[in-house]
Amino acid sequence: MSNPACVDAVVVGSGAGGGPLAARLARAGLSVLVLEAGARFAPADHLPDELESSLYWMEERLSGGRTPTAFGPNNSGTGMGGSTLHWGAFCPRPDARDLALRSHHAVGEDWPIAHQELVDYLREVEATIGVAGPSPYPWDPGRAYAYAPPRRNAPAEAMARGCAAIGVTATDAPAALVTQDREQPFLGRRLACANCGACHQGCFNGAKAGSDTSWLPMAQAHGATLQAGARVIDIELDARGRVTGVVYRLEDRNVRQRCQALFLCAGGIETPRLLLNLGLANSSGQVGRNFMAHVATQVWGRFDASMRMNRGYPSSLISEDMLRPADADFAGGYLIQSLGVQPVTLANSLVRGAGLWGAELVSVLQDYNHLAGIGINGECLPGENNVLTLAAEEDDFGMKRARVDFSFNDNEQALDVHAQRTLRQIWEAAGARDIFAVARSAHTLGTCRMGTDRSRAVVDADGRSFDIDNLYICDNSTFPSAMAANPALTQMALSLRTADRFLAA
Amino acid sequence: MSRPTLFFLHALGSSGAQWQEVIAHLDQRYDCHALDLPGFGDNPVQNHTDVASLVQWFRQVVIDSGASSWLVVGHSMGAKIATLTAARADAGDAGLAGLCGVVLLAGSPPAREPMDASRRKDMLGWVERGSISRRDADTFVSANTAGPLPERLRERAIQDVMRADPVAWRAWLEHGSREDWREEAGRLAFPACIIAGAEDGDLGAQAQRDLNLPHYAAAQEVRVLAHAAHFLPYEKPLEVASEIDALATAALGRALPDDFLSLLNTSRVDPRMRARLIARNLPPDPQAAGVLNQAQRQVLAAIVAQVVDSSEGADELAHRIDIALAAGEGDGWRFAELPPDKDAWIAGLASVDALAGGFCHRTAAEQASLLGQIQRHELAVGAASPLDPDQLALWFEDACAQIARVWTSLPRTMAKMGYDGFAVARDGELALGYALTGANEVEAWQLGARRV
Repeated sequence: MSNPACVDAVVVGSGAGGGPLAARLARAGLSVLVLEAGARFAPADHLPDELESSLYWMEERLSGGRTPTAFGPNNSGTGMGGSTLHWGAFCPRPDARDLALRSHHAVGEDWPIAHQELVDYLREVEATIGVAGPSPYPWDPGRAYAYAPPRRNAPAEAMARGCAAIGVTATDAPAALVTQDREQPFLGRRLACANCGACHQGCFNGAKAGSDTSWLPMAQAHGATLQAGARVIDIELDARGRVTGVVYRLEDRNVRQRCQALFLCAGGIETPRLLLNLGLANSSGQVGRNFMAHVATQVWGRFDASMRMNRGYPSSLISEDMLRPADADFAGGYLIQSLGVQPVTLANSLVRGAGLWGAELVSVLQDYNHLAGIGINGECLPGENNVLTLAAEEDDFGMKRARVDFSFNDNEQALDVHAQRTLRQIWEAAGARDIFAVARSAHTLGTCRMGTDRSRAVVDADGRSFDIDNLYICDNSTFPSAMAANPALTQMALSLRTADRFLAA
Repeated sequence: MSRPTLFFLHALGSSGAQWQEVIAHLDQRYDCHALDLPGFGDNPVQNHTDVASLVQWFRQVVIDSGASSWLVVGHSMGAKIATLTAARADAGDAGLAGLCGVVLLAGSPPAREPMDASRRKDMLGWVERGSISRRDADTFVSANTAGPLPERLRERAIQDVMRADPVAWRAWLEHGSREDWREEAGRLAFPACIIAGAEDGDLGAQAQRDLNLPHYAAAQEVRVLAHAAHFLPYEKPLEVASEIDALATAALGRALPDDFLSLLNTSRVDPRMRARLIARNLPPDPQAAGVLNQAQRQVLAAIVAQVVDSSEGADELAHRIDIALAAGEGDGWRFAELPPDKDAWIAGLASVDALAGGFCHRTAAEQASLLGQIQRHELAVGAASPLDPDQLALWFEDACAQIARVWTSLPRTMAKMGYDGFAVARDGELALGYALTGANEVEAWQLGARRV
């Protein structure tokens, strides 16, 4: 069937990329249709059940390389709100130095956007979604947060203790949640964080900020249409190669939707996968290349005290001291955070990241209430060997599945070694016993990167395709470098910027 | 664990007294509560005349009793209440989380109860002018027994019929027994034992097979008691008690600790979450399709026992994994070097079995050593192994991850860990999370609060 009305903008994906953009375009008076592959949720739909998988992108992806990265739970989202339904809401701002990696280190890439311009958008994002954090912020004294930090949990207390003992600055982490009830425009009341600890399973009282509790209601209030369960399977072009519309599957039928402009905001895997499947926007040959995942190593230990780390906002402490360690033998740096991890997720990490099974695994898990961890989010450079390609096998829509090859290269390995050393020092100083490391990587970045050179990038600084002038990409795939900061907050800022640049064009 | 509780729900026209001879064989091991249904025995009918309100009444009795782990034994009319209460437990209603098993005796089914029209008409006629006469009560008791009861029991049964409230009697015959609750009852996973009298009429063995058995996934074939009709507790008290004891003993093996159950029963747990945890604590449906054959399932169970360091529950866990494989429930990705999950699991299990020369026949220490070698890519595989050493190591990681995932999500594992993170919920305008989050701080409601 065909929808005869041509809309100004079709936005594919409703997370940190699609949400702010849709709100901005709709507010400017454009007709906007948001197509989201997943279901629509209300906060009350979420349960603290780690086996609930409806918030995650569970369709099969193939993972290769020397350090294959895991998908599924906690790495890719689906549903109206995208990954912001399940995200950890840990939202440091990007550091200016991380946007100029190539200038400073002659590796990686510079961002084609000035840091100050990004900061203005970051402030707007924080004001719109509601962020809690310390004021002032030790590494950026002028910064203030609207809400007081959530209660520290036991791992945060331990990290504070350990960091203080070895002279590392640490403080309450910026967290995209409200610690007082908030009247959210276009939505209603969001209750204060209840310290339930189940952020990754979806926030049942709307305390956590997500696209679903901020941008999407705003978009809808300004006339945008939000269509859940809509899976885009084709992009249609005219003779000149411009986008004329999309075809999406809704239940058992295909719907054709015409549009003036198309915004792909489906994330670092599905966006390049769609383009590769359709053979679009890839004159650079860069679609799918430069895949980056943060080095996300964790260090764990047992404490004599009862920790019960599932309680409270999970990542309630941060240190930015290691963004440029003095003794670094690698480019970039990493953030440190305290960890509260729910049992099933922990079990998975223990198996996959530490190789535990049998008596050893059971002994650690049964000591759950005495465990605590700290982890990092560390820079990852684009590498020739780290690439998303299409596998031979197809999904239910006849689209080839994504295969992602990922290996830590020299820089990631050196950073990992440094981080493990630092984390162990902190944990020893905090009084942890039986300390061990868990290898991990996280986030899906870089597969349609932005840049100034159309032979080395897929989109320009505004997110506009070099090949198709009414096709935009607005998701983590455009990140030129990984940056140490977790990506969602930056992504929302980029999303507003892309919208503004589009509206100004 | 406190002593488990048995609740007994009697038949139409009877009372809790009908269970005396059964309970005499059980009360050494169980707290036995023989209830009078509303309108029978000493219990006034109030407004509990339809099935929904009888179920609600029974739920309140369970809650008020403070029972932790409990089973329900329902006879005839009581069986319909028992099954539909089990359905509410399955749906996650607060207060019912301790249900461990169900015993039905000549049970009235969730469907309209088959009842001969003329018999129903006669029985309704008995209460036209008030209470049931001795003569009609005598007729009723005779019609429901295969042979003569000892006089003492017969007199008790007759007295109970005579003191039945005509309102309750009529309500059951005209409405309760005819209400159709099949959809609500659904297919229940609770351990169950279904018993029929060989000489019963409308609610005999065939009716039990047709109308009650399909609602209980874990129930075996209907147990038929010879030389008995409908009044099984009076006619065959020893046999009935022994069936109850056998089921209860097996079912209580999976009972959750008292403190875990009381937390599970509070409003801190969302009913949908409660339902999921209850379901996870029950056996998987024996009829649910898997992809593994018997031998493959046994190898998997042996690997499960290694990975979670215990053979307790290993078969069930292997079955759960098999069902998930058949349903195509992946984790959203796989190693590029491996075939799709189903093929990888079958190949992985075959490889482990081939390398061990029969994995299940090896000692636990040999099994552990072999799996360690697999994990470290150390095994030279022969032609009999479908996977090469690198693939096998990757598959073993996947297998460990899936086993650990399922095991960690089980309520009994949570209980052992002292994990109470499932007990956070939105309760109206209240968001129930944690008021305390620091080290060594524990709230009074939390698991293990008293031990700290």
